[in-house]
Amino acid sequence: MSEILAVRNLRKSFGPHVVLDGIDFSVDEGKVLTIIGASGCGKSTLLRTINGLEAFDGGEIVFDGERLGPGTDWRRVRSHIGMVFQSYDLFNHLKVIDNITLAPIKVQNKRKEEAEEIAMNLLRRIRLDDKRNAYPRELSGGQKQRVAIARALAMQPRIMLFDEITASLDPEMSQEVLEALLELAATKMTMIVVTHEMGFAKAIGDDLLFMDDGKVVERGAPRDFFAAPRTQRARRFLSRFEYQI
Amino acid sequence: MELDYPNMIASIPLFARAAWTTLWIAASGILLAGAVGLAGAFCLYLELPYLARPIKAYIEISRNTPLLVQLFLLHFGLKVDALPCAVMALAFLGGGYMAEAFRAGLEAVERSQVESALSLGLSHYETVRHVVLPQALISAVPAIGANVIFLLKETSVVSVVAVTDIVAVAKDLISLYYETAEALVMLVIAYLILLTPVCLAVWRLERKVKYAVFGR
Ligand SMILES: Nc1ncnc2c1ncn2[C@@H]1O[C@H](COP(=O)(O)OP(=O)(O)OP(=O)(O)O)[C@@H](O)[C@H]1O
Ligand SMILES: [Mg+2]
Repeated sequence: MSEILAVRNLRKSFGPHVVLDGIDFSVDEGKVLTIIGASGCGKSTLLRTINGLEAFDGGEIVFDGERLGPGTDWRRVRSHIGMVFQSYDLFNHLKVIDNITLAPIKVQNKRKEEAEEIAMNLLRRIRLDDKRNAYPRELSGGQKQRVAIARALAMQPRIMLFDEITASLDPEMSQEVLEALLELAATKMTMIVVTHEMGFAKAIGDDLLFMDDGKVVERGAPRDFFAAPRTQRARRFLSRFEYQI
Repeated sequence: MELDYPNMIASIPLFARAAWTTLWIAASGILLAGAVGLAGAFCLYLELPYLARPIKAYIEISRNTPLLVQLFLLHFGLKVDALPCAVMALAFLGGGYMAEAFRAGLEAVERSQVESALSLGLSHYETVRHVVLPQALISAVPAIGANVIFLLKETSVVSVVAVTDIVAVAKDLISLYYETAEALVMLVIAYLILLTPVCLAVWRLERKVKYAVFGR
């Protein structure tokens, strides 16, 4: 199994505040890595450094054999790294179909018909093909988030980064989005999934990182982690979810 | 009220000719104001160094001095000819208002829209061109529409620098025939004829573009 992303001793501070304190991990092609951890531990910052939305201070990120950093052609790299955010961020002025085809047309220079065919296939997969001409404001939160996923997939990325994409959805809508992710995982898409849904983290991941305070505290198979967390910090973190249920 | 209707009807051609002057000044002044405003707002949005301060100063000065004073300064102070002076003053005044309208529109586009465009691989230029600008323009439509109507009405003071607009025609008729009421009624009608289509167009554009995209 070949390694597509490697993060080594990654460091990042905002002023005096150390947010990523020597992060190490790698992701193999076709695998799903889940990242969990308390709010503010640096999960979003980690994902954002991987696609260059945030610069890092030390260590290295190697994507598909290429070291990322200041000299990187981010336009090209980002077109291979799909990212979906908590707040969907569909382009409000564009219809669903145009949201999906914008980047393939502008970045990959695809013809409009070709881009639309890809978009329609994706929309059919998420069962939203009847919404092709709707504006984002006409969609529910769950539908918006599924379109945002389709928009990222239309670039045919090598890896997908998901940052708490169900955090602003009610349970029913997050269910439909999580199902879309499970279907995607079944197609052997490489993914990094940051989530606060423990049940989902258990179900989807091949591998799990538990982060705390800018460090990777535990790493392993999700089943083992949830059955028997090795560290005090992980046990404390998981105990918070128990009395929520 | 007894009005001298025959004389009012006879004055229609004079008003009609002057209406072209009013429209021409308004159209060119407003277009220039739009260009100035968009450029200014863009420089502020991109946080270009050294330019922010002068642009902010310009916006304040242009919006906080009366058009009348701007006209006097340009015409009698800087000796600019009457017609270009009228256009320039309107553009100067309107540029400040338009800059504010565009700036508010640009700021209404959430930062996360930019990040999701960048993360799809769009360049900064493409992001501004295809994601930021269209949304900024759409949310600025009501403010820009209000500015257009405001500036069109502001043209009513340009006759102080010897431009033959519809106000000048009304003034001439009053001094010729002493029929003040007749001339002013004609002036009101003339402005209504000029403004009503513009108001309707703005209203329709607002409904069509803004509500379609952002809802109410
Ligand atoms: N642009 C920034 N400037 C300064 N500090 C920042 C910035 N972005 C994030 N931080 C800080 O970095 C830390 C990590 O933030 P991050 O968003 O990565 O956490 P997170 O694990 O994603 O949290 P959450 O689960 O709430 O999303 C936080 O303490 C946050 O306040
Ligand atoms: Mg986060």
